[in-house]
Amino acid sequence: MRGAVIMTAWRIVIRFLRPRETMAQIPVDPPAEPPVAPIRRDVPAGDAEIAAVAAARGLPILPECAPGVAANLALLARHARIMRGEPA
Amino acid sequence: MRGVLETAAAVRAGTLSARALVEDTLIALVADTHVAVTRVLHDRARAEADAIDAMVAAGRDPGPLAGVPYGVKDLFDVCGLPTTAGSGLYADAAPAGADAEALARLTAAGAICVATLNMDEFAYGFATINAAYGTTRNPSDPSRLAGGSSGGSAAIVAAGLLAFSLGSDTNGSIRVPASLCGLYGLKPTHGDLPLGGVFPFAESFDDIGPFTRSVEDMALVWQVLAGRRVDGGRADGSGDFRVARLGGRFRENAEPVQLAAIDAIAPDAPLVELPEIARARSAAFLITACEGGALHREALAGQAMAFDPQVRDRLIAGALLPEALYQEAQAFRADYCARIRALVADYDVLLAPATPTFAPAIADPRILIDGALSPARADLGIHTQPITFTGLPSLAVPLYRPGELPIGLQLIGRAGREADLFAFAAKLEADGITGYGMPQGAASGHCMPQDAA
Repeated sequence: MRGAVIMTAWRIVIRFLRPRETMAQIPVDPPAEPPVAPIRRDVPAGDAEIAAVAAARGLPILPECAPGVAANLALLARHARIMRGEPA
Repeated sequence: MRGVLETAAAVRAGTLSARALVEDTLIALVADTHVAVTRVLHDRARAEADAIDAMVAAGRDPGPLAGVPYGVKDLFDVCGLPTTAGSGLYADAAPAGADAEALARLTAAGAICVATLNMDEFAYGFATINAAYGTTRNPSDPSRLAGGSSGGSAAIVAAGLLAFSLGSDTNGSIRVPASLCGLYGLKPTHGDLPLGGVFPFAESFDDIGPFTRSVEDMALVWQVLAGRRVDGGRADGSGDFRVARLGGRFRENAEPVQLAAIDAIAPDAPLVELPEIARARSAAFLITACEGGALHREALAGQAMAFDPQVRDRLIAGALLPEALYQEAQAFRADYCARIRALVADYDVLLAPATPTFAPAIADPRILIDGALSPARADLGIHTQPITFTGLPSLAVPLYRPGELPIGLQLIGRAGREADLFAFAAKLEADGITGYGMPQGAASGHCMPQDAA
């Protein structure tokens, strides 16, 4: 009986003396991966998408520029298709 | 109309005063009607001319370009002036603290910078249609474009007002106006000529180079800029050139006179088709758009309305392209360059059209590409852009057509072998196939190919 009490007390002492590094090795569930945005490869198209990409880059598009920007993006999209060997 | 060599020889010999020549040149530049000049550098030119004359009087040699007046595209730093890059946005920028490296080399050789010259804003175009400084006119027909983006540099030499000028070539901005104005124009091996103090456009492709009216003048100016001598032709000294003609898309979009000249120059030369040339041109287009857009993004965010509207919208579009697309285009480029260099390693000179057609009308600046009308501003470089992509040197040479609209060819060489191109072009010039044909109303005199050779 006395031996069992001593062993229990010893286990408690050991538990509190265990180095923190050892504690950190205790298996835990890995944190959830943050969501990864798909890598964008396509040229933005359409007013809403163009405006969203522009806003994300801190480049507001003034109304006077919007038609010309859209036309040039359409031309660049065509070049992207040609570069990839896709139908223009 | 004196060329570079003739002028420098006369100044060095003391038979021509640099100051007198500069005074005549300044008067002519002020009176220019081609919308080629943006600033005339009266004080600087006179001071440099006096210094040259003083050196000659003292028995010292001012250098191989002694007293030769020249102009620069308005994106080279000129000490004491704002570098505008053709944009009103930078008209009041802080003045450059020193000359661009290219100017410093020319000055050390005795040349005199007398003017800054018109261009497409930020070099983004093949037309020299500039909202702030006007549209440059072609000396052979002022109702037509001079080409761009180094249009002022080409027009002023073609009009006979200067013996040479400097431009920059990112996708064809020297070779296109050289073709449309009837001049020699060099895009060197990528990175070979000094870019220090030059306003950038797309660093993957930016180069500088000269415009001249003869091959001899071109070789001399190149020697000064490159800091090494032309070594007289092929590396093995044989004088025989291994020539190929570029086929496919290059021949599908060309004027008959260009194809006839190419076939006459090298009737037995193999017809080489560069693979995937349309893909290469499109990749170059995308890289240029990305790099140009990134360069100006901050200014576009704050001062968009200060840009030339057409350039502005192109730059904004480029700034919105995904990074992954840019990396994809660069990866294609790396692979493509290796393949093309291996393919053309057996040739000294490749022959191709420089532009797909003659100078378009200013009133309707469109050209036919693959049977459809396209904007000249974007598409005149259809044959130069894929060559730029490879980094190889390319010399635009004018077909000798006095009294007719000018048009040119490209002589494309191996990396670092500009000397091959000069030697081959000299043969063409001596045979009367290429050469400067003075436009009606040009300054004076007439430079026949045999005179220039």
